[in-house]
Amino acid sequence: MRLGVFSLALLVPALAAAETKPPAYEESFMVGPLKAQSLSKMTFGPDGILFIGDSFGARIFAVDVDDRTPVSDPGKLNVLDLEGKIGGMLGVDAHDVLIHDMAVNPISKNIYLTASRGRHSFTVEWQLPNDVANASVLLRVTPSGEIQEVRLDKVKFSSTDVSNPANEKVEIDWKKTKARVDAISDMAFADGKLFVAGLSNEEFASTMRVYDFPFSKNGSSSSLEIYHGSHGKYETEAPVRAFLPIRINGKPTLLASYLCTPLVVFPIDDLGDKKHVKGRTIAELGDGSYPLDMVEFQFKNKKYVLIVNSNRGEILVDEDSLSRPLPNITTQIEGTAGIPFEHPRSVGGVLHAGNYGDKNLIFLRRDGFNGELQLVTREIDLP
Amino acid sequence: MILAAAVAIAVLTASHPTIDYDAATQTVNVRGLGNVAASLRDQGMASRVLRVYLGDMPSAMLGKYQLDGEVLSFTPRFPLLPGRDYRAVLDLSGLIANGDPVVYRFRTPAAPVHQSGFVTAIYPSADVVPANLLRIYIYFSRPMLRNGILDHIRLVDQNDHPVDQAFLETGQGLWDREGRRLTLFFHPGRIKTGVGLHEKMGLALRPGSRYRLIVSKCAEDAEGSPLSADFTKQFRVTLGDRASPDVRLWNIQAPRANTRNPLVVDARKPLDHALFERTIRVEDPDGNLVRGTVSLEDNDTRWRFVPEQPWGAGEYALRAAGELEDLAGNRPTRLFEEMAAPDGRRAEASGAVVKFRTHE
Repeated sequence: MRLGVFSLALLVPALAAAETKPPAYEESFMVGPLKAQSLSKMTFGPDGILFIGDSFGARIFAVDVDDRTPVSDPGKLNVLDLEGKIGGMLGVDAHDVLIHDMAVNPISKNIYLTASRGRHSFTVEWQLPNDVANASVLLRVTPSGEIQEVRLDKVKFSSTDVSNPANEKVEIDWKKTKARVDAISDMAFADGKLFVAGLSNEEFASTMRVYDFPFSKNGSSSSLEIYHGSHGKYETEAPVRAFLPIRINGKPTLLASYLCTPLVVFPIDDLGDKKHVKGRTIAELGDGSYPLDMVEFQFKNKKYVLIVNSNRGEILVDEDSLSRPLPNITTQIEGTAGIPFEHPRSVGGVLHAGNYGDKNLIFLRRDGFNGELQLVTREIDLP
Repeated sequence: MILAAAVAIAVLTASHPTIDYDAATQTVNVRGLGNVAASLRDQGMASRVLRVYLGDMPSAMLGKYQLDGEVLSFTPRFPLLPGRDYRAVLDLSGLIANGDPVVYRFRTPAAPVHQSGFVTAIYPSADVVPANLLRIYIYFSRPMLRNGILDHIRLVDQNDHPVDQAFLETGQGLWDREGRRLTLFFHPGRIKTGVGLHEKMGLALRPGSRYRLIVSKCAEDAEGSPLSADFTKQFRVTLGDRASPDVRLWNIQAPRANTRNPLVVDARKPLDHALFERTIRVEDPDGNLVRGTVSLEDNDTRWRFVPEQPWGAGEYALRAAGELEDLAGNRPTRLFEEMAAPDGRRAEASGAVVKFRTHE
């Protein structure tokens, strides 16, 4: 789930409009079974529309999950043993439940999760959930902690193709998986556009696709290149793992992060169909880590970005540091480099994070002591 | 819905609803619902009335509810697990009088029993082998775990003393593609005279002694299951074999023309099982390959060939490739320990051809 604060503001007029006349996208929606091969990635768009990326099917679905009753302050949430509860629904033991992605509906604060029975399928280091199984179940956790299935057998949706996705036969040897699992590696919605990171079948595989919504044509597709400071080279192969649309000095920008862990800015104006876009590497956050989610939040009238990652603890960036002249890393570095960042106090074991009203963030985390997967809120409070 | 249910109480009856589990279709069925059935058309209502749980898990399984007449069926979204306990809870309270929850427990059939693997054959199959035996082949009934196989194979002498460093240690062992045939090489350092290990430890197999090769049942198949039992191969050791297999001395029983009678070739001594099977070919009078089925007989001393098509008349050729070896690795034109000629050259391995005529 990545919905910037500035896009939240844009939702308000859309909401007001929804009560008077049906929104424009409704015309493009059909009712029927949504048949996806893999519920790979999710993000929320306007008016409670859930975008679901299907890497194997190379499609993006815009789903009306009929969930737009506003809840402004959902309060605290603490769901323990989430895998035990979901395991009962999937008919497996807790240790076989695998959560693939999380997105929070900014209107209702319902937390959406994609799930599979795949947790026993991990075989080598660096595998992510989508590498080992395809999620087929969509669930939501309400602010009261109830877990409901969101059935996709009769639902209102529209869809668009992901053109020229990573080939189904190409193997990624180091993590024993197929390049296709990352045809869609992250998604975000901002300023009326859906941004979709992933891998194409081009020589420069790392790609950022941009779609209008309601979907019109195939969208635009830019190939991405970055300098990877900890690897000491320019790279075009690895997909963006997590990104966030933000404004830097008023300019719409994608703040993107990659495995091992460069932080890069791409001005949105630079993107365009069949363009090759070079990002500016503004930080190296430390090697050997997957960025998993990026969340923008506000505290005492200042904006921050929280980067949840697999191996280095949460990383907090004060957006003030983005408004100053930005570094441009173009030589090999050891350790970390670039813009300043901190490691704030963490709930530990975080796999996903999202906004949960203005006062709280929500974390999907595994408790290091009892091994449970939990959904817990944390009040936004910085020293 | 709640209002509808409340109104319905007075008129709905279900005689004696029963629950059963059908293993063939993996469905849970409620029968005898009477006129309650009609109010269960709605999936939401049905899922409140009938819930199916895995073991003691707190949430009910996802699935599809279908109404067929008075029978309500639940088909789980995902397959039920083998050999596990489930409970189905039928709760008609609020729909009929005496509709208190009824619990039905069932167990799914156990997973099919894993067929334990076993050793199907060990070659050489003879009870007598030369002291300079080069290879042993072990055939398994199913694909095996490649790593660590040598930990589960022991060679012991007649006093039950293990023979150390008998075999060449390789990372995963030498396997065929399927993981069903393991090739054990006796340590070449112990076979070759003049090499350090040979001089220090001598041959692994001593002439006149008896040995047992034991494949422990702890060897795991590719699914991690042990073998059904230990397998043992006993053999006696004779003097080292330092003579090339001589194709010219082979006894060929030529078949009759216009039949598919077997061609039988007696090599007069056991040859390497895998190579004997693979490196001999038959050519017709025009030099074309004759297709057919090969089998080995009499402890790999005889090569038997049944052609796909009947034999023709005329002179056929039996061609042995240069790689053919006997049990000690001697090739038709080159010994395993081939001495250099006075000019320093060594014989190259090359093939040999013998001719035979089919009988009229």
